[in-house]
Amino acid sequence: MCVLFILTFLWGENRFSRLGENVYLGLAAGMNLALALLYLWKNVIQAGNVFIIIPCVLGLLLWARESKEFAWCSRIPLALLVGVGTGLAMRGAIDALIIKQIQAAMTIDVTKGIGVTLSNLVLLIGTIGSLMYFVYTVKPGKTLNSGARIGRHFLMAAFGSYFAAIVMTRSTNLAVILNDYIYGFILKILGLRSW
Amino acid sequence: MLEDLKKIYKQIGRPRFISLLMIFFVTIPILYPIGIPVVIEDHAKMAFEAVESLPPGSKVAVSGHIMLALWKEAEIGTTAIIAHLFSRQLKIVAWAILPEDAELLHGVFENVPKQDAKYGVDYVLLGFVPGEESALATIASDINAAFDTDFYGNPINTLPLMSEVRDANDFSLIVALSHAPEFYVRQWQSPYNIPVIGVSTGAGTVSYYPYIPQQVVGLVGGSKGGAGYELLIGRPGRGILATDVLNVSLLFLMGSIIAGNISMILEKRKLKGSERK
Amino acid sequence: MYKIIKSREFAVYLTGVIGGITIAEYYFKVEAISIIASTLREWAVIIASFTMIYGTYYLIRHQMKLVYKRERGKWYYGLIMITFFSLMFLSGIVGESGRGIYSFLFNDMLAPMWIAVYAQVICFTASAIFRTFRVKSTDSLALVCAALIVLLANAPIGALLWSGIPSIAEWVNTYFSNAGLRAIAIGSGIALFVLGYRTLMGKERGALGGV
Repeated sequence: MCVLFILTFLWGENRFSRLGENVYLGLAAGMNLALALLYLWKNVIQAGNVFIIIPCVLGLLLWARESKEFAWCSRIPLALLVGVGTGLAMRGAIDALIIKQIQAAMTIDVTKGIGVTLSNLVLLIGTIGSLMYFVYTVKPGKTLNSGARIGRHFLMAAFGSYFAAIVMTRSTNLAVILNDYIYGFILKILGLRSW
Repeated sequence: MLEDLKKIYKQIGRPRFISLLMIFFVTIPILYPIGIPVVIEDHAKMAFEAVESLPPGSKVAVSGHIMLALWKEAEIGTTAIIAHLFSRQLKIVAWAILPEDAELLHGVFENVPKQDAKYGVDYVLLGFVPGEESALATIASDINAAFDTDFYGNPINTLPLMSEVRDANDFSLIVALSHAPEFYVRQWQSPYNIPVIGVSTGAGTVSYYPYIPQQVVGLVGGSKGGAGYELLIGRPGRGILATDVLNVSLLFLMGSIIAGNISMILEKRKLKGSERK
Repeated sequence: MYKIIKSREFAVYLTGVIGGITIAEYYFKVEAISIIASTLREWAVIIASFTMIYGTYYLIRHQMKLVYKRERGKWYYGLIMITFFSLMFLSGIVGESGRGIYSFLFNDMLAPMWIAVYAQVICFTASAIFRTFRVKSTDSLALVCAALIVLLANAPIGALLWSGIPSIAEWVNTYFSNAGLRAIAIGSGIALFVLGYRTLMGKERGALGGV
């Protein structure tokens, strides 16, 4: 029933869709809170390590935002989170996202035939052209503009692929909802399906 | 009659009409399965080969990182790959870095044929750990720092399999149930050289392409990839229904693109015609 | 000392130092740095769970205010949200993992509703496709062609219509659109590095919450 409430949004926002949304948000929030607390209790507090009190106190400092006088305290746990997250992302990005990607783009395998060699060349030209499209720090000249124009076509093809992939997922979602929860329910009641 | 047709044509572009049409077309293969044969993707074959190449007894990590809303599509590939891991007598350590994935992985482990695998000895479900990338990095450097108990509340020092794994170096492969391969490539593949297999929905497959095959050795993408993997392991399942629906809905959407372009050409001709007058 | 810790600059410098230690651990194999970095990572995981708790607290507090003030047209939705929140939370805390009321609420209520929210998108996408996927230039031609080829290849029927379609689609995915995707990956890697550098050097302070 709640699924039908949510699907009524297709015909515009109404009381039923808002009801469904609020039920869904309440359940999701309850799940998040329960799992976070269970993780803290089972894996942190019950572990019995005395030094765990430091990150727990830092975590509780987040609530200091509620007070105008002590709001500055909430910056400290956030600083730790942001520092660790940024450090982890940066250290991996250089090797995984930059060096290895450039190596892969520049690799032209001549041993697998002329078709693969030409395809790898297309990949290299497309990558360089697409990168030229993102250069904003230099005044655009003839070369940069031509490269960027070629690169734009490759980027559009990439977005077309993204679009097709997203559409695949959403179609399957619709099929699951219809098969498992709407038609499945109706057919079960009519005795035409046992599962 | 012409006026009625014109009215219907005006309605065609409206969201409600197209939504109804979409639901109607998707209903057809659900009620009357078509059974169009599935084509096995190359990336799914690569993932299959990667699992087949591991000797029995190797340890494989499974990391749940797919939103609940998108799970049903990824479940096809996840169930197939976990069944394959059990059939190859590989040991599995699974965890979730999104809250909902712990419960979802529990559901998969309950339903998949385990080939005499014992919990605690051959496979372990550790549960949810917050922090996403930080959690992955912590698990990679020291798994005991992230978990003290498993999903069912058992202390991990009572589980024999957990005495054999300490960090990423103890694993031969990581199966990333994720839309974000860069997390796994940054925290597992790049520093520790652990091969990554991706299991994702259709939407997530495109984000894996830049990393295949150098950093990600295989990909089971969407319901089509999952159906192909089911055929490779000889266990056809839900993937077949999903591919039927995929066929019809994708054909409908292609029809929408073509119809939209025809509509644009007709409107341009109408404009030119009225300009000449 | 108190004034220093209270200042914004202290949080910014702390971010920089912690980020620096995390990066240094990757490039320098010094035991002291590894121990400090791994401790900081464990603490970050614990603080992340507190942020989840805080986020939920903030949402429920807002809904409780609506209910308390009896805001017209909104308070009963707030009451419904709080009711279901309490049900899910209590069953998750008290019940056994993978069984009971929590499992029912998760598998038979939350999951289908969440899937339905995402399933709606395809209906809006279908109508948007009809109105916007129109070939007006060579760029849009590349977009529409790539989308059509990938759609046709991903529907297994494409292989039945013409056996060459999967090969063309594979070529488009592996080389043509992959060029754009690689450029996006490289660009995002550079952007990530630059943004990370700016954050650790204190030039981007938005991450600290605007307090």
